Amino acid sequence: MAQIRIARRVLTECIAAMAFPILLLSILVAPVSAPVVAETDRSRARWCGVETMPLKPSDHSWAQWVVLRLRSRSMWRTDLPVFVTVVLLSALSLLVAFFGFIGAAALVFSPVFWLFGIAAQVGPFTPESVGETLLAMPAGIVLGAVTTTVLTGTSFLRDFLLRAFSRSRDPDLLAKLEELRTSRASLTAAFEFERQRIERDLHDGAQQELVAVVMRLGMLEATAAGAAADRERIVRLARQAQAHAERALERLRDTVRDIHPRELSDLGLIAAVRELAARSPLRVELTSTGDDTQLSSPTATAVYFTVSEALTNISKHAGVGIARIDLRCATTDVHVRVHDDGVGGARIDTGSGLAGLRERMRSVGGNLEIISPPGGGTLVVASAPSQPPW
Amino acid sequence: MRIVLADDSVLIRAGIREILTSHAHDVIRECEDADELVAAVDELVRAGAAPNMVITDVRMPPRNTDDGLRAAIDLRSRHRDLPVLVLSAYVTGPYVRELLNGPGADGAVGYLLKEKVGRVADFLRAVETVSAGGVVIDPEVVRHVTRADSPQGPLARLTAREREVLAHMAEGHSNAEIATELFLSGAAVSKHVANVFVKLGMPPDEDNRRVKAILAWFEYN
Repeated sequence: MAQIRIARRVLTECIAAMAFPILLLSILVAPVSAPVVAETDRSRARWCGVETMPLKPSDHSWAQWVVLRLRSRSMWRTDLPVFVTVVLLSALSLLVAFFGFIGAAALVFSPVFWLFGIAAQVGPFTPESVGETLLAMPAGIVLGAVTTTVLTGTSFLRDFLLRAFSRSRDPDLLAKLEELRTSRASLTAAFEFERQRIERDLHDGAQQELVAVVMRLGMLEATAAGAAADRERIVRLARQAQAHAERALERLRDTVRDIHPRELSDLGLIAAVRELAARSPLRVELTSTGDDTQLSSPTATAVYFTVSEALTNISKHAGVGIARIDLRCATTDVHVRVHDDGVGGARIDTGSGLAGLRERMRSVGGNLEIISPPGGGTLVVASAPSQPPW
Repeated sequence: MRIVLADDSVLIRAGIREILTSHAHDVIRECEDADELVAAVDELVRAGAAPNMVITDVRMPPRNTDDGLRAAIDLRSRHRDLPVLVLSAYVTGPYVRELLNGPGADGAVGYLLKEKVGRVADFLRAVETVSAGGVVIDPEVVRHVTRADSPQGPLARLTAREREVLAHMAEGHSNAEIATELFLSGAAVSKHVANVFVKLGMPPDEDNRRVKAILAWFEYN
């Protein structure tokens, strides 16, 4: 149930009444003014407590949005009818507010006018004595209340018509919207997942090794400063410190590589996937065809991490030592299949690495599917257009 | 001292153990996660062989968040006189505050960054200080929580010099050490320390004034 908010409704009706001349003029440029007026009317309805969604994206300027709107069917279905009702109802509000409020004021202040020797005429009524002017006061209050009621009614009529023309019963559009919502949510989740992974990698990897370096150096110093310096122990501690420092660098390199591999930006997707296959603990049979120079960077990155995640999953869960990668790059799109003959039964669960990757593939206009019957191996298939469709 | 050591990284445990054992301490139990730590200490206490100290990492299994800190606070709430030294990879105010507001009220707690173990002499001194009932907070954490703007509450009554002295106290330094670091005479430091106690409303007969002053410093910073 919409809140009534009489004051706001009457105020907006008065503003609409005053804007009537401008609205009338704007009929000349109706296709441009209609979306603006309709959007303004949606804001008005929101301010009066009715649930309406602004249609103009916050990052669009009015000019951009009007151009967009001119190309869409909603312009003719929603904006123009709303525009017409706004103009007509503003004319009504103008008449009601003008005569209603001015008449009410004249009646209420009738005795004051009388003092100055003026008989304030309101419609058919002209006061002819002080008594009549005093009687005019309550009549003025009643007229004001009636005007307020009529304006509030007009405001509700506006809301009703706005909603009637805005009914979006387009199931495709709603489904698309729902899909966008989920994809946005899971992309956010994927980013979050990724950040936590990086934090964990750094904490469990490079940071631990560096702490170990610092500890060995501390022991080294304590030993060297000791009265009877134990040469053998000093050498051993120095070697250990060095080994830890080297491992810290190694772990750091791994973490950095997992964030973004250099080969990908320098040599392209095929070379990067080849490198991935070479570094994997699995025996990977890789076939790659086509030319990867046409791929956009986000697309190549999404495919790369899909392959990387798939290989990691195979070595963790599949229980086999062999994987096959089939990568096909064409001028218009890219396809990749990662296959193993392991235990199967893999699923894309929410929050899992694969779910994040599916969203990542979708974010570049592609998709990711997984076929993994229990006991029947696992096939991860991902494809995307070379350039995102937007 | 007989010490129970908890850290999920074998590497770190080995390092800390080596440092402790090469300086005449005994690591009587090593634990890999928070639950194990609580169970081990409880068991030792029941057997009448309570450890002299617990040294634990903050981030450990089972949940890999602040499980070590929780375990330390839990153990301390049940064994009032068990000194606890927390080692962490994080410079965070909230962890330290939790530690100080829980068991810290009776002293015998410490919060050090893990890599400070490498400063062997400082680390061993921190171990001694905490086991003797003092409070040691890592200087980096102290700097992190020290507000740049005007101090709050009772700290506002302290002079800049007195606040500096108090910050050094929070790092577990003795009066003599503070004198050396700030190039002051021992008498001057004693005077500053006495002023800090007076201004924070701690009468001379109150025990554990040093710990309470440090708590106040953390609470109002």
